[in-house]
Amino acid sequence: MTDKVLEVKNLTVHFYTYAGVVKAIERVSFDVYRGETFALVGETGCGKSVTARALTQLIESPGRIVEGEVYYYRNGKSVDLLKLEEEEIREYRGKEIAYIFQDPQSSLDPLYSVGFQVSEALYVHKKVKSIKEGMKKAIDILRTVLMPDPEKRVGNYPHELSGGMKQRVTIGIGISNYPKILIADEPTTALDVTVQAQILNLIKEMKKKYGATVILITHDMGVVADMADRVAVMYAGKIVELADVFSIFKEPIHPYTKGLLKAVPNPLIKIERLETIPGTVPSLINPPSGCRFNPRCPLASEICRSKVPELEEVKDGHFVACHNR
Amino acid sequence: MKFGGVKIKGNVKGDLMQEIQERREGQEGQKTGEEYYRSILDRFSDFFIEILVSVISSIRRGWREKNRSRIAEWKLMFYALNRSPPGVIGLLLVTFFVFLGIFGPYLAPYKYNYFPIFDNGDTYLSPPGQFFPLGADHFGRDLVSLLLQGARTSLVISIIVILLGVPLGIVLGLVAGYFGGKVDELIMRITDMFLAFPPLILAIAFAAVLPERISYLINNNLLLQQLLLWLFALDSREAGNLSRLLAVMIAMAIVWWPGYARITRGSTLTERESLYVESARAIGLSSAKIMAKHILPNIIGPILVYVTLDFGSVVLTEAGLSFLGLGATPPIADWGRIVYDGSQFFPKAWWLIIFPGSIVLFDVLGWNLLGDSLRDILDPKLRRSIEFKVKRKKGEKK
Repeated sequence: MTDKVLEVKNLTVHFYTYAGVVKAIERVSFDVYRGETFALVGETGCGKSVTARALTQLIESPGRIVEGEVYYYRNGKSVDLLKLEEEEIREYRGKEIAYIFQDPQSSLDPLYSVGFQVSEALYVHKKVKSIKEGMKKAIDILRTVLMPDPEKRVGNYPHELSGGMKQRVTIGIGISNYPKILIADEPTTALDVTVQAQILNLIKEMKKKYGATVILITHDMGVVADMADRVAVMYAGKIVELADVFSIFKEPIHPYTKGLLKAVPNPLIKIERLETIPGTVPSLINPPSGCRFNPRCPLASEICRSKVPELEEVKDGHFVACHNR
Repeated sequence: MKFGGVKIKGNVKGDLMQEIQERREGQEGQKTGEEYYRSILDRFSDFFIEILVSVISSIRRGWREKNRSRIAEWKLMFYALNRSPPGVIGLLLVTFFVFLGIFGPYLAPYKYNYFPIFDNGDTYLSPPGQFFPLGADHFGRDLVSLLLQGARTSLVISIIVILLGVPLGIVLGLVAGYFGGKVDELIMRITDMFLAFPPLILAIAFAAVLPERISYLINNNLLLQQLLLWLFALDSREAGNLSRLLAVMIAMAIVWWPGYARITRGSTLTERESLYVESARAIGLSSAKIMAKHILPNIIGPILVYVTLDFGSVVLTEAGLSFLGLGATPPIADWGRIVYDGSQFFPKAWWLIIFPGSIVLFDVLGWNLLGDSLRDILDPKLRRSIEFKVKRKKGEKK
């Protein structure tokens, strides 16, 4: 587990909008180890997706990756993905690092059959010689993602499939090139609960089968508990706590993590009212000075308002960015 | 015996196939539960599609089976078109003029460069009915023949202008919309500059300046010369006048693309944000491929409608340019040119104005009517309402 595949250092992404510069993520650093499931957790707009997309430079204008390094380790050598040219990074996208997006409804092109779209992913990376050959392989891929009746389904168009089936197709596209890293960006959010478990199991299954490393982005603590090995909790564009999944759930240190866990209903205890974290996510154009969580933090003191807490190792492998630890 | 056996077998098989076919159709009817009243027009369009499908199936085997839904979609499109009388009129007019454009020069009773005035002086501006059914121009030429020849000129010019201008606009619009930022600003500001000039004036300027430069190109390129002569159905004698025709086409293409660049950019901007474009990027597709294979097919619908609507204006602008003396020169027949030449004899030789004028009117009207109803039909929501309206009517009757 000490074998790094990805090392993210001081990743900063800003969006230059008319309202001002949105500091979507600020100096985010973390490592991902081979074969693990790394979860990025946080509420909406805290920069989880931006972080994941920035890894392969998938940030669209007006966004820009301001600084940072993303080292990708392969066969003992490392490459800084952010320094690559557009043509070079295309080699990594899909082949080494693949994505599964949140909404299967819109992440498939409505004009092409699903088989074509799987086949296209193979064709770009020259795994097949023609789209036609890819269609045959697509049947096998659809079978591995447990698509019922794959011979028939390859010819179907996205609108002819259910949400769960479509998400299977996107997972199929994701794994089609046997990527080393699979980034699942809220893969179950758009699906109903019964299908969610199936899809999560499928991702687990694929991970086991192909030995991929999974970066899971979610706001669902239940999914985290089920899937993740290590967890990074993000708040307002920063990682506030990073630890293995047991430490996060048993001994959360950062007040935000504590609040997040309290907001999850426990089915075993009768509760009158579910606790919430007061306030909302701050504007990222003018983030609060010092610790970004200080306006909502019950423990906030003077130092929190003046000094930005750095991510420090408290225990073995347990990092926290808080003055009150 | 053996022969007979085989024959019976074949028959049985045929019957079975037919039965299966019938049963399948029956099921489909039940499934959709929608019955449409088919008028003569619908029967005719269905028949037309059937012929088309059989032709394609005979070339590519199994095409009919694979594209059942596409065929049904075509039939439904024609069905919806048949519900709008202006659309049908437009389609008929357009078909008629396209037909004239293709076969007109061969149907013409006289050649455009035959001047009867040299044989018989009385044909000079002879009124309709005297020598020719629609009269003659100042060279004594038959107006019917000229109009038929002019149909080809007009059709070829409008097609080439569309073929040159539209792809240019689409490519620039796609690039501007997809990349955004400075590229977008640059392309769109150039587009704005072109749009700022009145298109007719700009085209006049280009059409006046270009011919000298182009004539060199045409004279030195025999293949291009032959191709153009063949396209316009002209004699090789007219080679010297080709540069002016080509100049008009190029001038119009130059002023024609900005509109397309704008609508393409607009649609690209919305389509670019869709998740499937991002997923395409995430699997490592190149920008060019994403634009050509994923964005363009998704936005082509409105552009095609715009093309149909625009065909009329191309015809009109072309006639306008020739009316101003640019473009076709006699003896090349061109509707605008006929009006221009005829205007000198106007009140007397009214037929030289009225007939070509109405031809242009009907041609433009046809394209506009067709484009208008195509817009309704290609929009799924509007088409649905067209279909529903029909069904309600049917219910009321019962």
